[in-house]
Amino acid sequence: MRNPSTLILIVIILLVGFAGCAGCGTYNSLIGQEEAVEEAWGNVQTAYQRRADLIPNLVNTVRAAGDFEQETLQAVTEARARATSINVSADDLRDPASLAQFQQAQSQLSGALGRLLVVSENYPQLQATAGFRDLQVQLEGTENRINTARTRYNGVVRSYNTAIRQFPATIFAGMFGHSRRSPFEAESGAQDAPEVDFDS
Amino acid sequence: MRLRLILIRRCSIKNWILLIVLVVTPQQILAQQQRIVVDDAGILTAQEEERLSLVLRLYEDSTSNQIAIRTLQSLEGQDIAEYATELGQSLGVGQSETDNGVLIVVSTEDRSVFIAVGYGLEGVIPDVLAGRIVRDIIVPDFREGRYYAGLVGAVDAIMLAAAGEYTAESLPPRQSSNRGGDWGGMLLFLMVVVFAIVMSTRNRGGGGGHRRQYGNDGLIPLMFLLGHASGRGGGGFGGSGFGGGGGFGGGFGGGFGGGGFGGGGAGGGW
Repeated sequence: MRNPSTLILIVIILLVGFAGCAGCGTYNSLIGQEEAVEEAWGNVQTAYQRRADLIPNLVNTVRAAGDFEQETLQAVTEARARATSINVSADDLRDPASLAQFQQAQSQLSGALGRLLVVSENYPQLQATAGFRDLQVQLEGTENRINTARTRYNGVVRSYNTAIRQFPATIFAGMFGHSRRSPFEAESGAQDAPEVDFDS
Repeated sequence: MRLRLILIRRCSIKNWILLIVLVVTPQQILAQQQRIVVDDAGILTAQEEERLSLVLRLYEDSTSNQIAIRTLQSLEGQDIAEYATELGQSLGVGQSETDNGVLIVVSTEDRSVFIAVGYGLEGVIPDVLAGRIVRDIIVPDFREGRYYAGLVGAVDAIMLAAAGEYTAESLPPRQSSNRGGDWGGMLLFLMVVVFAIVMSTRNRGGGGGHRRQYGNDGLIPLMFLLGHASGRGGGGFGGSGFGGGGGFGGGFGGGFGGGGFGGGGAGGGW
C-alpha cells in the first residue's frame, strides 16, 4: 500500500469508478427521457389517426345531405389520403425534414377540413342534423387532443434536447447515439381560423 | 443549517410574523386550489357552492370519480378547451390510476363553458355526449342566468353517464395519497429534527433577551398547529421546497388524486 504506484492505481480505479457511476446515471436518465419522447410521439400519432378515422364518416354524412360542393369534399379526401400515407416513426424524428413533411401534410388536411366546416354553414339543413353536429363536436375533440399531444410532445422533446446537450451528459449522449429530436414548429397562419371568400 | 439557525435566533418578532405569513399563504392558496368547486366568477351563492361541493365530494367517496367545477370571469384570450385540459391535468382531477376526472370550466365574460373529460372517462363520456350536455342542459339554463341549475343538471348527467364505470375501490387511502405519503413522512421527520434543534438552542441561549423568548414561545406551538405546512416552512432548513405541493391533497379535506387529461370533452357558448 505504501508503494506510490499502488496508490496511483487506486486513485485511477476510483476515478474510473466514479465516472462509470456518473455515466450509468446519465445514461439511464437519457434512456428514460428518450422513452418519454417516444411515448409522447405515439400520443401525437394517435390523435392524428383519430382525426383521420373520423373523416370518412364526416364526408359520408355531408355527401348524404345532398348537393354539397364536390370540390371541397374532394379536397378533404385527398388531403386525408396524403396525410395518412406519411408515417413518421420515433426514429425518424432525428431528421427535421421528415417531421416537417408530416406536419405539412397534416396542416393541409386541417385547412381542407376547416374549409369544409365553413362551407357547411351555407347548408342550414345539414347544420340542423344531429349527426352533423355530433361529428363537428368529435372533430373539435380531436383537434383538442392533437393540440394537447403536440404541446406535451414539444415539452418532452425540449427537455430531452436540453439534457443531451448538458455536460457531462453530452459526452455520453454522443457515445450512445442520442441525438436531437425535432419539435413541432408553430405553423404560419395556424392561429387564424380558415377564411373563405364567398364573393368569388 | 447552522447559519440559518443563527439568523433565526437574531430575528425579531416582526420577522417571525413574516415567516409565518410566508408559510401560511401558500397553504391557503393550495387549499383554495384543492377545493372541488371554485367560483371565481361569483355566479353561485355561498349556499349553492357548498351544496354542489358536498354532492361532488359524496359522489367521489362512493365512485372515486371526481367532478370539479371552476368558474372564472375571463379567459383573457385563451382557448377554453386548452385552458380546461391544462387546468384539469395540473390540478390532477380524478385518481392517478384511473384518470377518472371531469372538470367543468365556466367563463362568464366569454360566455363559454367547457367540460373536460379525463382519459379514464372518455369511454363513458365521449365528446359527443359532453357536447350534448353542454348544448341541451347547460346552455339553455345559462342563457336564462340560472347558473346553478345548469351546473347541477350537467353534474347529474355526467354522474348518470359515468355510473358503474369505477367504484370507490379505486380511491387511494386518504392518509397516504400517492406522493403525499412519502413527503408526509419525510416532513414529519424534518419537523421533529427542527423542533429538537430549536429547543436545544433555546435552552442553551438561556440568558437571551425577553423579545427573542417571546418569539420562540409564540412560534413553536404554531408550528405544530400548522401541521404539514410548518413542516414545509421548516423544509427551508433542509432544502425541501414546495415542489411536491400537489401531493398534499389528502390533508386538505379531499384534494385531487392526480388524474390525467388529454383534450377530451366538449364545450360551447351561451
